Amino acid sequence: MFQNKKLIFKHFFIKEWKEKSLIFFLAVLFLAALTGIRFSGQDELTMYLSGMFVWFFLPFSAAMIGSSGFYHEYKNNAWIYLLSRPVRKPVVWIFKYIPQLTMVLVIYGIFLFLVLVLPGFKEILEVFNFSGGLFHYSALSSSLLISITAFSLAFSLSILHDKPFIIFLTTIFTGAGISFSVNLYSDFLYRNYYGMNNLIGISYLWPAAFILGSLYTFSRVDFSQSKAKLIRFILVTASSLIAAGVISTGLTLVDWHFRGRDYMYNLTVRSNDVFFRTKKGTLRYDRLKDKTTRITRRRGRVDASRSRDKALLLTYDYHQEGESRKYTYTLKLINSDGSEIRKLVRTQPPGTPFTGLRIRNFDISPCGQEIVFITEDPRNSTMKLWTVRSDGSGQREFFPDIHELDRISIIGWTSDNRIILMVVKRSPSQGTEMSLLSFDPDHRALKRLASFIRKPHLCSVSSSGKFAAYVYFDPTSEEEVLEIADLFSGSRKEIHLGGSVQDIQWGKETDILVFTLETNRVGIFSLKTGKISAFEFIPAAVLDSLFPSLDWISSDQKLALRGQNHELGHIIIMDRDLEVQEIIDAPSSFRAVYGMDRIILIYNQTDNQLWCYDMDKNKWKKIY
Amino acid sequence: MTAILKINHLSKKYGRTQVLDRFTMELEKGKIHGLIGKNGEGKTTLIRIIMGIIPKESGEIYYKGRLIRFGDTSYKKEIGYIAEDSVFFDWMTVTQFLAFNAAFYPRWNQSQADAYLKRLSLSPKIRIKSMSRGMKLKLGLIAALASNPEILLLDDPTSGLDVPTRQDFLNHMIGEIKAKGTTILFATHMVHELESIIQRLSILHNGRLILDNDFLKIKKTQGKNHSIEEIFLKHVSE
Repeated sequence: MFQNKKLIFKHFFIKEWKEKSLIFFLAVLFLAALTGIRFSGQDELTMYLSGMFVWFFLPFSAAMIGSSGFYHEYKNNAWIYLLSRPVRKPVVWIFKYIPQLTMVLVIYGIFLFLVLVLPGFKEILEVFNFSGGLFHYSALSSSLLISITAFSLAFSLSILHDKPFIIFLTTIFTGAGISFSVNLYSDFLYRNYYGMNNLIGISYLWPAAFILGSLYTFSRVDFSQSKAKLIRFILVTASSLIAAGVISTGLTLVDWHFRGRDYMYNLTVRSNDVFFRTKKGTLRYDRLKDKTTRITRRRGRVDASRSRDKALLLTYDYHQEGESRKYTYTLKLINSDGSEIRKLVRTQPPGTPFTGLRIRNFDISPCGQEIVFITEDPRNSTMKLWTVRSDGSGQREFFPDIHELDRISIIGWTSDNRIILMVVKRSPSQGTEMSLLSFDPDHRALKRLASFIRKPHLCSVSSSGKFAAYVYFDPTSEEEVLEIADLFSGSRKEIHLGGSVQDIQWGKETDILVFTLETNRVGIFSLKTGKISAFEFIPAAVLDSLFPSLDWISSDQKLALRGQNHELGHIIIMDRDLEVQEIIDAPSSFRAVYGMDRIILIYNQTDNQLWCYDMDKNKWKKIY
Repeated sequence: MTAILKINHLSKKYGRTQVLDRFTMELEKGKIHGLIGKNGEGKTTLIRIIMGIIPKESGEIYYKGRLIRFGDTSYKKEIGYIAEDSVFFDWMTVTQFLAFNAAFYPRWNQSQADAYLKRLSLSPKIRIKSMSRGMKLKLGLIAALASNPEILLLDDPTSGLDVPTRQDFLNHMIGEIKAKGTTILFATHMVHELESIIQRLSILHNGRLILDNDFLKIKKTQGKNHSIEEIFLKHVSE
């Protein structure tokens, strides 16, 4: 019996490959052209065609192969012949599915072989790795998953119609529609249950629902009756899709129950401490004592101030009033060990100037004597800026008349206690305009530093408090420009990079700036010379605009940069000339990297882990 | 009578149209059965249900006394089937098609297939897409016969054939197949073709058999001079 099946499979294999040979031939032709271009050393064209291949050609070829899954049975009306043979119908379906799938896999395999064999190809392809939501994706594995999904979907649908083009279009629209719905649902979960950010297994379960619908319809329904076939297919597939959603939600809930509730967020890295919060409260990791302790049971976050001996802790509670949540915020001054010095602001009880307000943003001055914070009135969204001395005295209120559409946020302090602010003006007719301002609270003097700011999260003040770096949009050249402003003399240095800036990190002790571009280029700007001192293409780097991909370590003499080889993370240590000094294998993949002098901290968001690497002991340790 | 295939109260509907209505019939081993009926009366549906291509609504089918369920396959190894319009994968050559077909049948006799190819003057290298309807019928016959079937189901095999091919098929090939002891069910709406070859006649009308008897007995009761066509018309008009 088994021998017979093997023989049948062999003949099906040959039949399917011969029937789809044209698509395979086209794919091989494309790959041959790509190889030729790679050998001719045309990096940009190779990159362009590789991107085309992984994101379009392979998935579309897979969908085309799948769309014509039963084309020859329809074309020759040969399904009558095939279904009357002494072989089970699910076996026919599977024996057609597997050879066609192997065709997709062989095309992918040839491409993978070229990537591994041709010099520099792998590095070029790493440009297409991307981060979506909370996760990092490899272009190669994502392309394979998308292609298998597209193929399976198209093949499953191909039992329904004799025109491959109709099946192909249906595949595209169905695939896009389901992916969109899954994303909407994931987003809903993410917004309502923090940490529940990815529907476990759904990427595999929903194509499986189509496979099940197709297999069942093919096996049980009269193949000559199009309407009956379609109705049964829709019923079985829809039921399977609902089951897939329920299973995936169930798995996600179980995972969230055991893991997600302890999900860490509001990670703040200071010189010797790491603060973060979970649903259990606000925690602090003491690097010197190598110990994690809970500083409060309340949800809270600590500021990223440069003041070494003091910090600010903002905690909040909420209670439900009808359909809305009422929040109570408390801003405290704490010692660096987490012990409380004093309460500064509380938005309860009634009768205080802060009652009912939300504390949005806060910072402590480098000398530790002044505190600045921003409140928002939830009733009309208006914001105010406040300052208070660290002993709780001298409370001052600013900007009482700020427009309700406008937003302010604190960027940092200058060394002479001026506050650097980002002001966002929103106008329904003119859109959003972001400006960087310097505010002197003693003289109530406001000065505009820059306009047309882009990527406000990249604005930062140097460790000396003398310089600010930001990205703005130059309407003349229509490109992003990195600019460094001297906060005392007012002079500026424009750095035209011809690309999109992803990250900016000031040195922790010196006024040195490192920046990254989305094209995997890393540069260092020296304030001494007023020039870019190093600018390199780092192919193995994995850059991210949402999380820090690099940071200064070893008294600003070295850089720790995030790198990844397939699923394995590693840290690339570079000197100030951007020469790679060392590559340290990480215990897992990770999303963010932080420097703490001789300690490197990595944050694995997928598995909710925090690891630190001691450069003196060459050892990894899991903090959380 | 030894029934090799027994059909009990078989029903099948397409939408609101009842094609087979508690249809009951038996095929006697080694005999040639003629099943006649007008176009659209359900002959093709019946054969497709027997072959497990489409599901039935109710009723049972027994092959050699064993109940056949939709999805069963082992009995199909012993049944040869030639569809109304013999259709195969048209890009294949005769050799490729026969090799593909052979994989399904453990009892496949390749030397017999080769002999039939010669006997029916079919070139092994010719592609199916360039074959005439008659040639496709021959190929279907070879595919069916080389698997040494116990039963041969013929679904209107001669419609559209040219006269010489049809005559060759009816006068010579059917006889040769019968001589091997193969049971044949010959379903057609071209009723006159069965006159000289069948041993049992069944008439399908409104989803049921309205006549099912030995052809000789029918001739006896209806009168020797009555042709099948006349018998058919008489019963259908009643």
